This record gives sequence, structure tokens and C-alpha cells, in this order.
Amino acid sequence: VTTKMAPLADLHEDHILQAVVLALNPHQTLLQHGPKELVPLVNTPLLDYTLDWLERSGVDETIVYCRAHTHADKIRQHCRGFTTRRGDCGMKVCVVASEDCHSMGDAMRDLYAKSLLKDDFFLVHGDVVATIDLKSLMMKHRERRMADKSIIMTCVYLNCNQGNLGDEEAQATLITDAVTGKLLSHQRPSKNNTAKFLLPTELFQNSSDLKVVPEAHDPSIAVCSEAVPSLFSDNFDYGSRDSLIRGVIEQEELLGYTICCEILDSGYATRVSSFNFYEKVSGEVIRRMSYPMVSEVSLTSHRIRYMYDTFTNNYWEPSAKFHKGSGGTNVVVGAGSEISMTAELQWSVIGDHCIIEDNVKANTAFIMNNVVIKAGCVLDHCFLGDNVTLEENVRLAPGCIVGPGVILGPDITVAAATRLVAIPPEDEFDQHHVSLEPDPVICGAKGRAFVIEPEEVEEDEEEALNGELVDEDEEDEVSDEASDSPHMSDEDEQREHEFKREMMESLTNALRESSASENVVLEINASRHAYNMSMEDVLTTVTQGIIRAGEDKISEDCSVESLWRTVKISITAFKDVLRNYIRKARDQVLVMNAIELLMTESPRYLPVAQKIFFELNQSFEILDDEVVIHWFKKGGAATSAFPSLKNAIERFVVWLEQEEESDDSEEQDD
Amino acid sequence: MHLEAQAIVLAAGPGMRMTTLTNHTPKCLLPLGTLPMVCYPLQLLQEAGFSDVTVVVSEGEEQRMSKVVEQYNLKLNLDIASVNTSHDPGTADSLRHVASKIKWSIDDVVIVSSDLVTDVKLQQIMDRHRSSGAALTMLTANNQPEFTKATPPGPKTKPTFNSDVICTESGTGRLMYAVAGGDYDEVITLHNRVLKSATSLDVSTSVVDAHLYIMKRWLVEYILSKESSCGDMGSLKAEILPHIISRQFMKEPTKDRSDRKLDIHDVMEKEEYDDLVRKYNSSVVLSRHHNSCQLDSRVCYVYHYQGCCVRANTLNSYWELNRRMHSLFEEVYPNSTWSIKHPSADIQERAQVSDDSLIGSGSVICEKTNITNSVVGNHCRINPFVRLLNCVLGDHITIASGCVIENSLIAANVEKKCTIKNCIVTDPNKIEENKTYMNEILEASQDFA
Repeated sequence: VTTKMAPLADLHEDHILQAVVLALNPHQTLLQHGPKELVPLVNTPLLDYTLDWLERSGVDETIVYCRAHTHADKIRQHCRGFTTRRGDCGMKVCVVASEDCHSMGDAMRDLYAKSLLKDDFFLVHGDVVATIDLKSLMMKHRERRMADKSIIMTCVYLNCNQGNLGDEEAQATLITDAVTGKLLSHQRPSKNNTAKFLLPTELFQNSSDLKVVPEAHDPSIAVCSEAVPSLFSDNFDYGSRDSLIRGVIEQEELLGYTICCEILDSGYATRVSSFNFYEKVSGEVIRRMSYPMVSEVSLTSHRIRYMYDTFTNNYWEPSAKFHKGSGGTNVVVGAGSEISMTAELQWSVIGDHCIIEDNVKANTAFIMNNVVIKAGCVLDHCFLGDNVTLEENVRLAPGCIVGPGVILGPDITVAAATRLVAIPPEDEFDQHHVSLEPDPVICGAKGRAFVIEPEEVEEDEEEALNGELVDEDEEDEVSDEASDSPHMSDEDEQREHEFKREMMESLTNALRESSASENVVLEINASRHAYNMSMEDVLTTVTQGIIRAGEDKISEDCSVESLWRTVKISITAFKDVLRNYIRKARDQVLVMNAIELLMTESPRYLPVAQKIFFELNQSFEILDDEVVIHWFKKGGAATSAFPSLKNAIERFVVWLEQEEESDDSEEQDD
Repeated sequence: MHLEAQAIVLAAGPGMRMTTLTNHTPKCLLPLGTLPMVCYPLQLLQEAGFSDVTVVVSEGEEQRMSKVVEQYNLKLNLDIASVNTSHDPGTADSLRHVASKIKWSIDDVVIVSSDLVTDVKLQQIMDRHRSSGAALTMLTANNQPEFTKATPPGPKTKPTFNSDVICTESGTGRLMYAVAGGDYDEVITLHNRVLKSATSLDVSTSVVDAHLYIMKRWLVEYILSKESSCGDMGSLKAEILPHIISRQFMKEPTKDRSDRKLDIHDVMEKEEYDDLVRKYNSSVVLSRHHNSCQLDSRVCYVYHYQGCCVRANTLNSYWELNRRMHSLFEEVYPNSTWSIKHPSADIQERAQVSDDSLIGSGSVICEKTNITNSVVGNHCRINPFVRLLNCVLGDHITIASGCVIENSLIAANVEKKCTIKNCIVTDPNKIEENKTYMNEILEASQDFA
């Protein structure tokens, strides 16, 4: 914790000190019926950590910005509670809600229009847990601005690698001017990790000394000047802070603005932006790394709320039935909860009014309020929402997230990384797929729960959790989809057929006219919307289409060489088109599945399959080595064409594996 | 007696960036102040306690080199080797030339270039070298623009000059990447493994390699080995060092290939307490991925020196060093009997010699001369009514009576009365009576040379 305190008088010279807290996550979380900012972390809502920190830092007025949504009222109510408890002398908190707000950019534009921001202000998210000293940051920012008027923002980073833990925005690769701290390059770590880092030497023209921080932790904390909201409103295309940073760096000469960064070597600041971060930060709060924000102190009243035993590092509300010596360490127990003497708990947080019966084992479990866990349950690295009931002998494998009101058991085991909710998800497209009655195989005889598929965004987190490159379930699901296609209704089939035909036509034309890849992408996207196709279908069709785009030019019985020539021309021409659709390892799997499917439809491509794989992997780096090897070992899409395809590409994959192994040693300095 | 270190001075450099001066005199013997350039690194070594030094000079200069020690009161035994410079050998070739002279019993080799002028204490670099457990320690200094961007006499030329890029780990001085100026284009490519072994990197173009290296003996052997990748590299700085620095982060190659080259891992010698030494001497937290490379990547370090540390390798810095030598001399040439006005110089009573001028041994300064802020070499004769302002004179120079010379570098006799401003003179025959020369280089034409 930085202890250097700036004199208050200097900060308050002209204006009051303001902060903007963004609470833009409108979706209700899996853990409770309410906005994410109000999810309790170690029995204190996330937003309270942010507000308490801002208040400690001497902020006079905080604007909590959220979307006008049913949950906006909950936030408003919460903030009113916060200010009432603090009385008149505390920090002012006002909630601004807007109908149409999807990003930081929208929020900034709205606040600019309402001219609520008067001077330099702090811009943070509502889920940040931090103890760094904002006052000294503000002083530094103002000092810098005195010296250089072009600085509009100071971004705060921590010089420690915490991994991205499912949030790509938690990490950044920075290049800064070592003398002025000016930000010269800002990149998010890319998924398809290249082995090289490129440093443009033109940067040396203006800065003789650079500082490169390969993996800085980004808690999304910034000190902004009034130019920031106005810049957002001048540029409607700026959505996130990243797009603003990119815009300012790229158009430095045009805009005349610069961004500075402050890379801290010590201090605590992190966003709770994913379940992995939730788990990590909870542990850190229990371990008192976020001092002075520790579990036994209520952040709303600043009174001691929990008993604390330093030896076991356990915390408990005086009204809880919890014996501090009973086989638990690093445990937090909320008001009115009853914990059996025989329960073994570690690194766990238990909310208010929970009951934990005999012989329950819990390691790194996060349990909200009014949860009942009956005898013999085993919990490992999981999250339980409000009002969950676990009957006897339920075992939760790591990574399970159990939504509010779910009942499970007795005597069942839930597979790793399963997400369960009490009310079946409403899905407008596949209503007939979801059974409305809970499946007793999943949730047990007395249970009531439905499995939901994790959303796209949260997918990465699970990968990190399982420490695997490609999520296996994910992949199986993909292959299921491929084999599911015959079950489609005639209408769907017709639609898909039409789409495929149109796609083939546009690709063939594009190849003939050698159109720019942006235009091809536009055309594909237009067709996709017209036929309402899923991204998976598009990728499959595009992949096959690209390989077959030159088909009309060659005869049925041409030689393998001329076939390959045609295919190669086409792949080379459309490599950027294909790349455009590939964002994740899963997309690469789809491409390979598509190639496999193509082999079923037209086996004539079998002899060139190896070359296609080679080209996509080695020349265009569309397919990653690991993904290819993994896919191959898992038996591809498991269609009838795989055995023959396997023979065709086996040599390449074996080579790739060897290459992978010797890669490091082979790699010379060039 | 067990010798800890051996010193090698690389003095065969042709002085490519100051050819007007090096046509007649080898670069290492060009006068800097009243001493030949090579005396400065020799004094540095002598101060650090060396008694024997190996010097590599270009062929034909052995005689002149061997006299230097005696002439300038150095207490060193020089072991002089020569290298044929007709086909422009690199620094590594010089080193290979003295390979047989490197003793097997020593721990470290100190390699220093003949053009280094610095007041750094070699002992401190050596201490750091040992405490960090480094195999290579490189002396770096701030790029001092007052030297590198100085304006020497003669016609104006634009210095084209690409800075070296030196990349170190913040806080520890571990050398992560280095590339010589001119060896990079629009981008510098850093391997991910380099990035992953440091939390933050300082990439600098304002820091220069001072060409003083301390290397473990095994590393020198690796460099000199014909089987290693260094075998066919010519330049120590531009090729071999970048190679070694990058090899720090590479995994050990698989053993089974017969055609592979000797790798740094094969020759690396680890001392018994190396790891402990590192553990207790490194002031920072271990790098995050310190286990990911099999080779302990703590091989190359820099010793950054903030004080005076300049190489006289360009005309610009050579000129500026001469001009400032009066104030630098005590620091860069300490504990010597040599002083800025040599006792044996004969400065006659009515000669005006400013305090910031240097007068070499045996020089005669006649009556009614005025010498301001100038360097007069050894055994010069300045005749009456000569005015020297901001000049640098070599050894054995005679200036005719009545000459007015300003801001010039004089390496040849001026036997006729004339006015010279802002010129470089290397040929006495070019001077004519009562003429005025401005912004010229007066040198023998190449055709007759």
C-alpha cells in the first residue's frame, strides 16, 4: 500500500474530486438475482469495496453509472443505503442510469452531455477491489499535465503477472517512454500466441529509452481529464477504453493527445471480472492482502462485524454457530449460520443463515446466503448461489456454479465445470430441445436443476480452470452438431442448401475477380444474415467453399498436382477472409471438422488434404500446432471420413509434433 | 601465483570513422591530450592491479607499441601480438589471434578497446561481475551527445549514426537483448521467452556499449571455438554478443544430432557455489519463469556507469575529448606522474599559456605566444608570435612564427606563416605563405600517398 499522501488542500483547490464508477453489467449473474456489482465477495457486495476505496482516497463525489434496467433500482437503493449510513460528512454517491448504454463510451458521452464532470476524475469499474492511493496518482497526473497539456489520461497498471484468468482485459503488453511514462503501444495478449514480440524501431525517434512490460496487470483504473468525455463524444465509434487508447495512440498527430501510464510495483488492485478472479480475490481478501479492507470490518459501517482468530485465520459473525477450532482454516462464516463441528472447511466463504451439516468437506467453496448443505457433501472450487440446497452426499467437482434456488441430490456427483440453474433457460430458437422437467440423472431424486451451457465469454475461464488448451466437452459438442445435421427439418435443410450455394457462388466470383477480402467478408456476412445462419455454419461453409472455389476451372479427373494448384491459389486468396472468422481454438476445430466433412462429400480432395493442413498451419498460421495435434488425437470430428483423412495427414501431424518438441532447441536467434 | 584475470587490449582497429587522421598513425596511437590513446585503457588496467597485458595491434605497429610503456612511464609488461589488417579483420579475429596466449588457469578475461576513456574503476565492475555470477559483464555508459555530436574542424559533415539498442531487465541489469546500430530495420523482434523471463524491460538507445567486457574463461573458449556458431563471426559486438545474449534464453539442443554445432550449454562451467552466489546476491525476486529455460539465463549482465565514459572512435568524440582533456585528465588518468603541463616542457617567461591548455613533454613554447584552451603534444616547438586558440596539436609539431591557428586539429608542421581556422592539417606541404585556410582538410592527396 502506497503510504505517500498528498496534501488534501492541493487537490481541492478549484473543484471537488470526482469519480465515475461504471456498473454496466446488466445481466443477472449466475449467483444471485441482481446486478454483478452487488454480488457479495467475502460477504460484502463488490460495489462496497469500490465505494469504500474511493471514499478513503478522498473522493468527494462518485457517480455510479448503470443501465436503466430493472436492476438499476437495486443499485440505486444500495447506494442510498451506503450514503445514509455514512451521514452528511461522507462521500456523495449519485446513481445515473441511462436507457441506451452498452459501453464505457456510451456512459462517457452521456455524462458529457449532462455536463456532470467538471475536472479531472477517476474512472473505474464497479467490481474493482483496490487499495492503491488515488491521491498521489491524481497529484502525479496533474503534475504531468502541468508539464505537458496533451496528456488526457493516466492509466494505472500493476507490474505483476497474474494471468488473465478468463478476462482478456486484465492483462496488457505495454511499451512506454521510460522517461515521461507516455504510453506508446498497448496490446491485449492475443489468443494465438506468437513466439515473437515485435518492437517498432520508429518509436526510438521520439523516445530514446523505452520500457516494455510484457504482462502488466490491468485493473482498469484511470485518471481522466475532462478531455476524455469530450473525446468520446467526438468519436462515436469509441466504445471501450481500449478503443480510446488505440485511437489516441494511432492518431496522436491528428488529435494532439497523449496517454500516460503509471506502472506500480506494489499495491493491490484488481477487477473481479470472472469467476476465476472472484476465487482469487476472495482468497486474497481472506489472506488480508487487501488491508485495510479485511473481512472482519464492515465496509459500510466501518465497525468490527466478525470475530477473527489469527491462528486459524477464521472469521465468524458472533451469532453464527461456528467453533473456531473445528477443523477449518481460512474460513469466513456469516450471521446466523450453523456449521457442524465435524465439517472440514478450507478457504471457503459462507454467507448468512446457512446450515452446514456433519462431515461436509469444502475446499475453496463460495456459498451465498440461506444455503443448506446436508451431511456428507463434498465441495471443491465451486460457487453456490442463494437458497441452494444440497441433499446428502452430493459431490461437486471443481468449477461448478450452482445458481440460486437449485436443489441437488441426494447421492449424486456433478461433473466438473457444470453450470446449474433452477429455472430452465429460455432460448427462443431451441425450445424443443430443453425438457421442462428436471433430469433426475443430473440433479438427483429430490433435485431441481437444469444444466446451461456457459456463455461464449466465460468459456475461456473454464479452459483456464481445467488447465486445458481446448475444452473437451466443447469439442464433442461441436462434433455432435455436425452429426446432428440430418435431423434438421426440411425447411432448415433447404435454407442451408441455399446458403451454401450462394456462398459457393460468391466465393467463385470473388476468386475470379480477385476481390478484396473485406468485400468478400461483407458479402458473406450479408448472406449469413439473410439466411439466418449460425457462425458455426458460416465457418464450415466458408472453409469448404474456399477449398472448392476453383473447382469449376478444373476437370473431374485432373491430376493431383493441378488440383492442388487450384486449391492453393484459392486458399492464398482467401486467407484473410478465413482468418477473419477465426478467433478461438474452437473456430480452428470447426475449420478442421469442415475439411473432414468435405472429404465425405468429395473424396477427390483426400490426396491434397495434407497440403491443405500444412498450408493453413505453417504458411498462414490459421491453425495452431497444438490445436491440430489435439484435434487429430481426439479423432477429428469422428465422421466416417476420419480414418482415410487420418491416413492422409498422419505424416504431417507426426512431423508437427516432432517440430513442436524440437522447436525450442532449433530456434536460433533470427 | 594464481592469476584471477587476464587483460586483452584490442588495439588493431583501423579507425574507419576518422580516416583523415589514421592514414599515417594507427588509431590506438593517436594523441589524446598529450598521450597516445591506448595509454588510457592501459592506465585503467594498471590501476586495477594488472601487471601483464596482452595487446593486439595491426601488423607493423609492434615496435611503436612496445615503446609506449617506457615512454609514458607505465609499469606494465606488454605482450604484443599483431594481426594483418589488410583485409579488415573484426574484433573477433583479433581475439582469435591471441587465443593461444589465454592462460588456462585464469577465471576471467577482461577485454577492452584501445579507444576507451573513462574514470570507472575496473575493480567495481569486476566485483559486480563476480557477485552476479555472470559469464559476461558489459560496461555501458550514457550516450553523451556533447561528445558524439560535437563538431570537429574541417568541412561540415552530417553524422549518420544509428544507435545501438540495448535491452536489460529493469532493476537487475540483466542483459536481455542487444543489437548494434544499423543491424535492425523497422522492427526489433524479441523472442517470447525473453519477455517471459522479466517483468519489465528497459529498452534503450541512449545507452552505449563501452567495449569493455569481462568474460568467464569458458565463454571466451566458446567464442574462439571453431565448432561453435561464433567460429565464423567477425565482430565481437555486432555478431558474437547478440548471439550469446540470445542463447541465454534458448533450450539446450538435443544431443543426438551429429551435425549440430557446439552449443553454449555444452561448455558452460558451473561452479560449485554458483547457484548460492546468485541466490544471495540477486537483489530482486526471481523471474516468473526462471525455471522454464534449462540454461540458467543469468549469463549476461551490464554494468552501467553514469560517469565519464567515452570512446574516441569517431572524429567527433576524438576532437571533443581532446578539447575537454584539461578538465577530465585527473579523473581518467589518475595517480600518474604525467600532468597536464609536463615538467619537462619549456614554457618561456613571456609566453601566455592559459590554465586550460595541455603542454606535452619536451615542448618549447617561445616568447610572445598566446595559447588558449589548446592541446600541444610532446616535443613540439611553438615559435614566437604564434596564437593558438582551441587547437589540438600532435607530437613533434613545429609552428612557424606569426601563425594564427584557431579551432583546428594540427597533425603536421606548419612551417610558413599563415592563418588556419577550423581545419584539419595532416600534410605540411599544403601550407603556403601568408594564406588563410578555413573549414578545410589539408591532407596529402590519395594519388601520391
